Amino acid sequence: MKEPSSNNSTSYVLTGNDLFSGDVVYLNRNGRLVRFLHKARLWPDATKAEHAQKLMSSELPVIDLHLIKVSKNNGRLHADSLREHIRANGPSVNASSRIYQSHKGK
Amino acid sequence: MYLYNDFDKQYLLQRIAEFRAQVQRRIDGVLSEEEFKPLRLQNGLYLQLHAYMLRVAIPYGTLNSRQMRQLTDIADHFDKGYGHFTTRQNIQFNWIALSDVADILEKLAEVDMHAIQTSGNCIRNVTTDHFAGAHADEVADPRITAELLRQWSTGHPEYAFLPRKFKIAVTASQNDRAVTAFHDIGLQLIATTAGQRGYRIFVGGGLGRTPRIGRELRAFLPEDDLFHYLDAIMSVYNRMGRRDNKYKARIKILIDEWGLDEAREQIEADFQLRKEKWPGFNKKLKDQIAQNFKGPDFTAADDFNQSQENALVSASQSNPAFARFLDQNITKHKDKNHVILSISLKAYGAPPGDATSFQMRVLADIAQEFGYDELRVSHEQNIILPHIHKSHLQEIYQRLVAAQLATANIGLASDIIACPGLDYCALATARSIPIAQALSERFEQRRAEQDIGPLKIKISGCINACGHHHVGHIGILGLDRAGVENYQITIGGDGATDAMLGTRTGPGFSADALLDAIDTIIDVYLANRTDKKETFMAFFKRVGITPFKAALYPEDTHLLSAKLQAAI
Repeated sequence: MKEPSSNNSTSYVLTGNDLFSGDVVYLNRNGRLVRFLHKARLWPDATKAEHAQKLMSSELPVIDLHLIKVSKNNGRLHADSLREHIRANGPSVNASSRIYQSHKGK
Repeated sequence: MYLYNDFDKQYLLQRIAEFRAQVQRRIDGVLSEEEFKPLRLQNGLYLQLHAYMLRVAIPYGTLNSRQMRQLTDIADHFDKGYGHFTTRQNIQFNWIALSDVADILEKLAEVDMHAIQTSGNCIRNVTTDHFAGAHADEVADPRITAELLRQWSTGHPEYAFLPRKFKIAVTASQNDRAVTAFHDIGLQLIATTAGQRGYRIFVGGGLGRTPRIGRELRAFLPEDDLFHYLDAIMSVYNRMGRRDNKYKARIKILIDEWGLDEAREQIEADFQLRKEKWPGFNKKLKDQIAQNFKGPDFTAADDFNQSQENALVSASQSNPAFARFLDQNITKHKDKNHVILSISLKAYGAPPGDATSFQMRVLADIAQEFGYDELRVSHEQNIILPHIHKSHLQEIYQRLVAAQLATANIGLASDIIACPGLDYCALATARSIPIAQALSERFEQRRAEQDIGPLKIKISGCINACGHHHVGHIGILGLDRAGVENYQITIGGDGATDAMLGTRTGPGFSADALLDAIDTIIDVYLANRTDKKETFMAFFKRVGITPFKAALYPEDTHLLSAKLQAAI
């Protein structure tokens, strides 16, 4: 499916958590679950996305498959909400990593 | 601590086998998520933003070195090399896979640990004073009561499907270090002047979206009647608690709706019926449990002699950081040769309550070598070594320094409680950990914590208040305002003996403005306290919220200036 070409345009993706690992996953254009937002299938139309959500929720090993808004900004896909941004990029807790890093392997 | 018998060990193994089968049925698609969710919650397994989270029970916050080392193994093999100690004296692992959970539970069972009833609509981990058995101000060790409660509540068939979660805390001191006033049931173990032991019972306390200070149900209940009475409370709640609205399902709402007198009447009637029909709990069991909590034989320890005292003083004089550590992190023990050592998990810039597996191993080693093999988790997300001989303090300090566990900030401004917040929690509306990190770094730069004195800052990432913001001297609540994080501030909360709910200052602040707002609050205190001895809370009780509001919202000052002058 062709992705919207304009900058800052809003689209939708489907996301949930992988049943086995709990990882954040997105539905790609092949109907598979992938771990990266930039590989997700984009829907410009929420209605069609909701239809896919209903179909795929029971077909795939995913929990709480739901629609989120995303926007393309300078060629990069971003989740519109902070919560989904954190889901896509991991916890924003980072200053402490100096402790975690220094203790790795000890 | 309590020692598992064969029955306990078998119970755990059967429970794990049952849950392993439930997980397999979920993976195979036989169970839907809706069917599986209550089952996994009763085994402590949540699904959060990024992964499953497992909440492991640490009964009344007590564990030994073997258990701590097993937790580090779990952190290393099944998680990302760290654990998070919680405000209910448990530990959480944030990055668990469903397929690993049963194996993790088996590893926990090897060391007599589990994750049973750390979630779900049941009685949760019973919490207590983290100084239990070590402080001179207690009537008796409250953990004996807590262990009886644990055995009573675990797998209780009548209480497996309560209207909502249920939390019980026990204290045995007039200085309430267990936040009993803000639990569904708070128990205070007391003794009459004639020496009879019993409980003062509070009910309907809680935080969350409708914070309440618990109300006294019984001024004195004889010890032997405890379980009749608790069963009466639970039975009334179970039958009459609301099930139509989960936000109105806690016992505090029932007490609100009925009034305390009506609730007491119902409970007392139920209690009398039970007393007639049931002889009460097994006192032999209580005596057996009490044997597990006799504590170390301190009389066998060497006296801390004058020469050692001189050496300690000299060491602290030559090392200001060590001196600060002794000032802040040591509490007097009931035995003259020992101290209670609090170890901060609030290093500047670190997420509050997190410990790496390396740090946990260091703590296990220190506890085993120097601490009679006992550790505690406090609700303030720190680790306590309750019995440390004074002669070991220097060596322990050096080991803590090497593991970045020697932050001398217990009870000070950077000893912040924070929930996991929007970085981890599926329920959160704002981030809390980065706020805590930024605040603690600001305090480190400001270098005024000792001057500020005792100050408890508590941060919650949503209205559920897992960060206890309502009872922070300064409380911070993160909300979502049209997609942007906004932080409300409360001042004057207190979860201890003089229980108080914080007062909201006014409109919330952005994350960027929040740090300056906290600085402003502290500046108001420092500029207007009578002297250094007037603590932040004493100052607040004297002047109220007005001076803080005037400073935080200067555009309103002209309305408040007369009040402000009168207040200060």
